[in-house]
Amino acid sequence: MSTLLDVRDLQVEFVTPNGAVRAVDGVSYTLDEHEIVGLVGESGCGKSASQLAVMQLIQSPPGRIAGGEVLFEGSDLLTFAKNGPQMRAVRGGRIAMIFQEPMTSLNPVLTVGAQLEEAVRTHCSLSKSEARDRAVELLRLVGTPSPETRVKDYPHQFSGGMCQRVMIAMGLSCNPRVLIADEPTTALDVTTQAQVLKLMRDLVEQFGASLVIVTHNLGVVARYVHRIYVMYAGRVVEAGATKDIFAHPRHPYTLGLLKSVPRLDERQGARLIPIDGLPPNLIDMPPTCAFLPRCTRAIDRCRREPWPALESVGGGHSVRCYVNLGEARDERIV
Amino acid sequence: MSAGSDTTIVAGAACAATPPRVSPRAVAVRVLLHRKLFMGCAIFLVVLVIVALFAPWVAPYPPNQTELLNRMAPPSWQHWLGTDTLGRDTLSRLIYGARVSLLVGVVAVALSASIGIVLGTVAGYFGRWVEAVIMRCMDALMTIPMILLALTLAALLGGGLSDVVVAIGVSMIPPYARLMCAETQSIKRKDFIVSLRGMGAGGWRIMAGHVVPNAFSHVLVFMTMQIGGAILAEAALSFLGIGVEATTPTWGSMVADGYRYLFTDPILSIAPGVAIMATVFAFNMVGDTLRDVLDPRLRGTMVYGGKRA
Amino acid sequence: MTGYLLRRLGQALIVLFIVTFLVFGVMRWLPGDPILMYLSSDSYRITDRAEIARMRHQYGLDKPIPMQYLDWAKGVLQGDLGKSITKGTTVNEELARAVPVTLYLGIVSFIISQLIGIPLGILAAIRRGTWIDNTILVIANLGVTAPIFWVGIILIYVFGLTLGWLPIQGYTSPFTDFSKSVQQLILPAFCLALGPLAGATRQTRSAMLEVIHQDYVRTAWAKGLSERAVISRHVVKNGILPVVTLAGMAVPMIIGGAVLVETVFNIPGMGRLAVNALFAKDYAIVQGIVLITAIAVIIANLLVDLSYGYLDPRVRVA
Repeated sequence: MSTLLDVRDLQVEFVTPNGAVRAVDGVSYTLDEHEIVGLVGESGCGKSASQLAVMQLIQSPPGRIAGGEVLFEGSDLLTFAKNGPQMRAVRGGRIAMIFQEPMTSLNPVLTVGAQLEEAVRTHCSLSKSEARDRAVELLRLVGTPSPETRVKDYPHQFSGGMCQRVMIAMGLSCNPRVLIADEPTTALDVTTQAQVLKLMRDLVEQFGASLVIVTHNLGVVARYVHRIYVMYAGRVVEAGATKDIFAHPRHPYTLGLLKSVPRLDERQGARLIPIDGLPPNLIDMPPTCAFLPRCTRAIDRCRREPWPALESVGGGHSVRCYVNLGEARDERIV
Repeated sequence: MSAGSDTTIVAGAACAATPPRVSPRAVAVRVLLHRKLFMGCAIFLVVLVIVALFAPWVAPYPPNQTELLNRMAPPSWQHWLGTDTLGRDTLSRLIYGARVSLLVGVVAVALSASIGIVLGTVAGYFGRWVEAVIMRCMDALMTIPMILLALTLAALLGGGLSDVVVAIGVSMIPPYARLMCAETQSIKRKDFIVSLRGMGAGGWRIMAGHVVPNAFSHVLVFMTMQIGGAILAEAALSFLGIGVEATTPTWGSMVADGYRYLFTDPILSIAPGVAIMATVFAFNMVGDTLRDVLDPRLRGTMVYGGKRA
Repeated sequence: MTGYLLRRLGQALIVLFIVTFLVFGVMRWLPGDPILMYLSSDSYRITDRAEIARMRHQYGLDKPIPMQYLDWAKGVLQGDLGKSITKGTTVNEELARAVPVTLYLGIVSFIISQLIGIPLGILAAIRRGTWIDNTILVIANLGVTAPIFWVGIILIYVFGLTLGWLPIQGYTSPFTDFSKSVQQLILPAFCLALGPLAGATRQTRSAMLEVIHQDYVRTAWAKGLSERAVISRHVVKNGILPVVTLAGMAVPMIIGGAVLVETVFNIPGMGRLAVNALFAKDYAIVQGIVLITAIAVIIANLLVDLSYGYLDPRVRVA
């Protein structure tokens, strides 16, 4: 499996009246062919910002990409002009992205068909009627009932789940190599969530593409994702195969995340253990570990020395922590 | 923290182009400038009000004192803006004219606001046919352009200062009514109003005590912006010849008088116009900034009521 | 859709009725007897009570106000708007002479204001914060704060008197002498267009700015569309609604402004007619002008409402 997307040391900052916020502070990850990768973390940890940066969709004031490389198909995407022809060819054509709020992510005054056709005609040279047929086909592909009539409807006539399917159709319409899904199911109800996720997975497999799912929901990740990157305060704090992460979490934050999710096989009366405290203020971060204020496992070294680099602990699993939980096997996680 | 990146900051250069392309510095400058502009305008207005109030002491000459030997004089040390066709000092007349403009502006807006707020709140609160009747009347008023309406009323009433104030005031009522109607309707649905009614508070009490104060920040901003409009209306009316008697100088009538001598002595027409513009601009700026401060999410133009007729 | 249309028409008629009745009532009710005014002017010197009473009866001014209104309304439906007291002509004649002039001036001004104002607003929005945006905002501010009649005078001073490029006054019908007509129209049309232009610029700019940050615009960028496609197909199409509303409000603005512009530039249109009629307390003419103005504004509003249905599919009633 060759590497499709290689993001190295990505940095994104936002200028606010109170100072510069480092939303993404040296994030690196890879995506292989036919792989599904998950980016997990709380709100504000920089996962969405990092994906927007890959597509150079960061809103220029107040944000800016401050550093890093995004290697894809032999070039560094960040060297392309933000709205230049090369970047535009990549967007939607080679890497597609779908967003969190499907209802507001579609243009309310254009028919769904028109928006699908637009996506198709931007990257594939099709005639108007060919594009129209393709639009219907795409709707059918994502499971829209009676696509021929629905194609002339407007987004407000679709439900949330169906809108997201349209978005998926739009994203995959030009056979991209990578589909990035930014919190694709957060705005949907639980049953629809499961359907949409399965649809995404199936289609991505069918098209032979790779998928990046950004989410704060561990349940989403557990089922479909091959590898997980756990993010906190703009950095990756743990990375590895899904099974490894769930079975042997090494970072206290990951552990906290796992323990705060209710489980079906827990004994009755067991308490949920949340992670105390609030996410950090990303302005003027101290050099020490960002999780330190909330960490129950902190050792002396954590307080004295700056946040460590990501270190491998074997088997594709790496962690950014001095404590490195793996050694102590006193917790039953799985 | 992020240890010495060997990555070049190519991204910064790659981040050229749109949509909005503002450097952080420009944003900061804009905010500061806005404040400075606001301060400048506020100070200007305060000075203007003081000058107008103390006109008899501030103005170098009485506004109607003629110097027939010194007619149409260009600006000089004795007469900073020159004199008009009867030898009257332009600057002094400008100062006295400020009195009329400011007075009419403020009083007319106060009048229209008070009537409009009452009408709009009642309409929004009671709804149904009360709202229908009131709003139709407001629509009717709004179909006639404001200037034409004010002109008609002022001419019919006779044309003195108070008539002008009433005319302009009445013609500006509808926007307030619509605004308050919409505001009332949205506040009415809020839970705290429902609970007040549950406790037995009567309609008028709720309206006066809770609805109006809650909507007030929007209304206040709107009022400030409307003062400029009222001043422009007064100037238009006195330009056309309706308004105060010839003995009191007004900016509009000064423009009209100077029009005939435009080629020989343009200052006579230009100066009062500049005064009008500066004052209206200052009020608008203050209103703008007030709005930004009171609610940064308030959109560019005031909402003219929820539903249109 | 037709049900909605009928309802709106019904409302419009009610409003029209209220407007005309209000103005009618106010004019009759306020002090100032037009007959006395007319009779005490130079053309007549009769102060005989009987003569006054006779003339009042002749013009129907001795009936109660609601009756007078009904008479007038009946007349209107038959196409008769009454007679001018001061001029002796019918109101129809006066209006027939004046309204086309104002229509000509007004339409040209309207087109100028929207054609320049809207693109300027879009430009200011997509280049927000740059010197382009700031310049445009300043110009728009000037347009809103400058008194129309004063702008007219300045234009006359600069282009007419000082530079001598354009005629300073007067009106010629385009059918009589097209080039002279255009020359004379340029200054007043621009003067009249300034207010609506500034309004359109500001409204367009804020509408576009609001749309530009919407999720669907981000989706459009993510699809790889060019800036032009994003702006035209996604931003403008959604932001145009408040701009259309404002365009509708430009109609009363222009009619009101015409009153001043026609006075400054000595154009024999409806505005100037209104001013003269008001001074002479010529009720019938004023009533007629109010009627025409109200109809124009109501039609403009109706058109705006209808366009919502076309522009915004969410509004369309099934």
